Amino acid sequence: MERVISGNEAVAYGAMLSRVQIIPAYPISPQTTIVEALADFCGSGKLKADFVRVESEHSAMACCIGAASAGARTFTATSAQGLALMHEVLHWAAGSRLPIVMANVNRAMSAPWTMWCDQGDSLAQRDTGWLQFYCEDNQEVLDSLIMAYRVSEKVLLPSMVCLDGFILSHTYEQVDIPDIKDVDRYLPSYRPRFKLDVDDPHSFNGAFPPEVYMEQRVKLQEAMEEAKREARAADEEFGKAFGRRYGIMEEYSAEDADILLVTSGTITGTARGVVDDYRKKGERVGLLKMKMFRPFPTEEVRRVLQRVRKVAVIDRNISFGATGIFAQEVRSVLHRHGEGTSVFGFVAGLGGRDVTPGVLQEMVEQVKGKEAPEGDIVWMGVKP
Amino acid sequence: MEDKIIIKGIRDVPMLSVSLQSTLWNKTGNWRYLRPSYASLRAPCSQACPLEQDISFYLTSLADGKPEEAWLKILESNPFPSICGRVCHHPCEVDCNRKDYDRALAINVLERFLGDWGMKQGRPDGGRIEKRKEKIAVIGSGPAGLSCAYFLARNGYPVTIFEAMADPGGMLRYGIPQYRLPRKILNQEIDRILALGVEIQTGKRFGSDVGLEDLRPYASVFLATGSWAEQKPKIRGDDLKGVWHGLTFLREVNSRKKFPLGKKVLVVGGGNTAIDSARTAWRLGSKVTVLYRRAKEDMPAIPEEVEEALKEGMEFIFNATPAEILGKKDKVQGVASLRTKPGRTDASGRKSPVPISGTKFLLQADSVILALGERADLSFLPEGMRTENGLVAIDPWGRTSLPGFFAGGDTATGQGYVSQAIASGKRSALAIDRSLKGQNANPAEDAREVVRLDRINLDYFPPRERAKVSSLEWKERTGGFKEVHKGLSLLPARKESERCFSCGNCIRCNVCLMVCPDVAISFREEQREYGIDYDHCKGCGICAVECPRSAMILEEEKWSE
Repeated sequence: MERVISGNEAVAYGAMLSRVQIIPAYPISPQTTIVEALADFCGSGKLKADFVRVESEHSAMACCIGAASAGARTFTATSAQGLALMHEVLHWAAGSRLPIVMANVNRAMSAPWTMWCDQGDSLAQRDTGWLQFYCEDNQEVLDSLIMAYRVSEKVLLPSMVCLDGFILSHTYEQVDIPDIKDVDRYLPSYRPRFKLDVDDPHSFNGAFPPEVYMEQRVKLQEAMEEAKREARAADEEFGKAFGRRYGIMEEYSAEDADILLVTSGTITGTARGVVDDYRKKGERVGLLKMKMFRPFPTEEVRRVLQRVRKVAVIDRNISFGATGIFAQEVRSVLHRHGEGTSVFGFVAGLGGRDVTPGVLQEMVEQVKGKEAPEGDIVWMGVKP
Repeated sequence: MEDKIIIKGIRDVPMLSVSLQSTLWNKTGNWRYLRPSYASLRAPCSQACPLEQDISFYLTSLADGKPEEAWLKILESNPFPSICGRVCHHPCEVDCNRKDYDRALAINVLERFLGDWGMKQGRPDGGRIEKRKEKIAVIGSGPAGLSCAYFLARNGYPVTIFEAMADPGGMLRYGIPQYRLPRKILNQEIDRILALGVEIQTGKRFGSDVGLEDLRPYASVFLATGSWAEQKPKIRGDDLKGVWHGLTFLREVNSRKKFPLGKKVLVVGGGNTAIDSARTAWRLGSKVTVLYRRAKEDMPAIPEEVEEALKEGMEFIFNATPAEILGKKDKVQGVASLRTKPGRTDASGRKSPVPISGTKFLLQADSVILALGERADLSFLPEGMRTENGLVAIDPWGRTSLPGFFAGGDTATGQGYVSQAIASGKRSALAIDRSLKGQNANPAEDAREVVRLDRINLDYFPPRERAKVSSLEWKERTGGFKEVHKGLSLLPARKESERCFSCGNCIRCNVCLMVCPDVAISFREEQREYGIDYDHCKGCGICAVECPRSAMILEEEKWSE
């Protein structure tokens, strides 16, 4: 069924089609309309789930953990400071190996007070053991949510599906809403391997002494590796079932590119147009869209970047005291493998500043004129 | 605990930390310093009800779709749900915790619903009762006498009622007009009592037809002859034709077909008898004016009844008193009245009205009904029975100064409301039963703590509209005695009963069970109640704090060792 819906509605449809059972959520802009839509679905009986009102995001995630521990398919959504407030329990969710799926509507962190888009909130949680997926449009938001359950429940790790605040969350696009019967076939109901059961009581998450803690961390890392395989498989199966594929990353006009843009989120859509314009002029500019950020598809990215001379990574985020975070990852991937590749680390669009085709063209022009960047960060559009 | 976990390599390390065995051996209950437990506390409605009915219990049964259970529960403490559901002054609703939240529960009309519902089902099975030998006499078949007979009969006593009038019911039959209490309802509820084996002798007036000698075979006597003596302060002209006294008027209306009152009727008084008389006269086709010597808010009549009278178009003149009834050829023509002003505070705590001279005004009237109050007629009391303030002197359980003699209702309490009369009969029945079994100590009074609104967890109770009860249109009320208020049908009655907070009483809502982080609460099917596993309850107190209705308490743990 084709409908014109907002990114947040796409999230809500994705959760509903996944037949989530427990939704503990706390509203925060620009995520709020997700919560409202899901509350409506529950209230009208469209979705047979328990909507749990909680007093904070920390409680929302704690409640997800409780419900998921009891074997329920669990969903929540948040943004920015709400996600930051969850930080402590994000670790618990991953360490307890719970396949919770959460939508994060990317919003810049405060202070100063802001509610516009950047990726500072979710990328600050990159080390918590959650899978992270970044979406380009509303269709991808809906589809990614369903796929995230499939991957998470296979590898027993939680997933975060990220969409740009306002740019997607409050923008309406035509979206194909899959038939729930098809989704049921793609995503069977969740059968937990471990669960809290009053008739068979066990203690969960008790202390691991130094003799075993590290081994358990190794297992979590192995699960991350497995997640790459499962994500690829989930994407392939999704393509068969619904005719749409995304990959864990996507190369666009990248094969023979001299200059390759590396993007994530909605900047990707803008970049496609810019790449097309250069191609029309006969210039070999290409694009690598990063969909999956955790686990980072190291090998795949390396394979693409090794053959390119100049890479322009566009970060809508900044790790203070270091560089843009995607740039860090890309540099680390190329280390010892990509001596002939120059990585330009652009930081742009923080706090909701628009990243227009003009801004991207300016980056390409800068890269064209230089063999290597002058510094690790190239700030775009900063007032003189 | 004997199984040791041996980890040789990374394969032996589980992906997450989960115990291999049950952890029930870990009796975390010994961490507890607060102890939750279930307690049945008192709801304000039950405390306010003269009959101390377990209202929250029967409303919960009704909400659960079990009207029969609800009806049988009422019959344990009230023989007259259909009657009380119509004429009770319902102090339960006045004290209902919900009144300070949205609106009080419509308890009165729900009681009426359950009474009427039960009546349609026939009579309940009385069960097997141990028959008693001791015979009891009840003098008077008003609400107090019938109630006493009912509770004694339910306890196996053979009861005989002596009634002066031709039919049983007392004030219910001869005082309360049919538009408030249809005779069919009255008869059905009385029949249910008589069906318990209660014998009634009508037309037998105590003091003339029945004497003390006749009461000799009875082990105990309950005296409830009502307050039929009307206050008749001397007013000039009160002997004219067309002057009535309220109770006499109401009684006569019930036994006559035609009752010519004339075009204009003046009712004097502000109590229930005055309002009943006024509304009755209006139904007989007269234009009615009520004259009351104090202000509207001072009227002792049930406020809802006054409002109905106003709706029906009765004219009220407050702060005025009749000085003289005027007439021509022995026939009433009008009343000369004086304005009054509040004077000294009297025994009732109200200011005694004082007529203001020079404020005389004339009112035309074809009939005058004087309803200036009633009191007990004590002229026939057995010798030596002590009286007090014009009433038979009794203790809180109805014992008079004569051994074996109990008294209740308006004769002894002077309280005036139907439910209070029923309560006095019930208390005496209990005291009689105990005295005949040789238990002379007073029965225990309910001293449980009352749950107020501040102890209701309102998060569980979204505001809900109170059930609407419809009444007859003005047109339908004229020229007849059709019942004014309509009842509720099952569905709206159930919906209304769902509004009950059930203050202090567990309704098995499962909140405690769900919030317990230690899964230490379980529902025990056989006992139909929750149990707490104190071996594992850590005493966090969430259950007691979260309980929507304060049916749980939290006390300091007193470890015995």
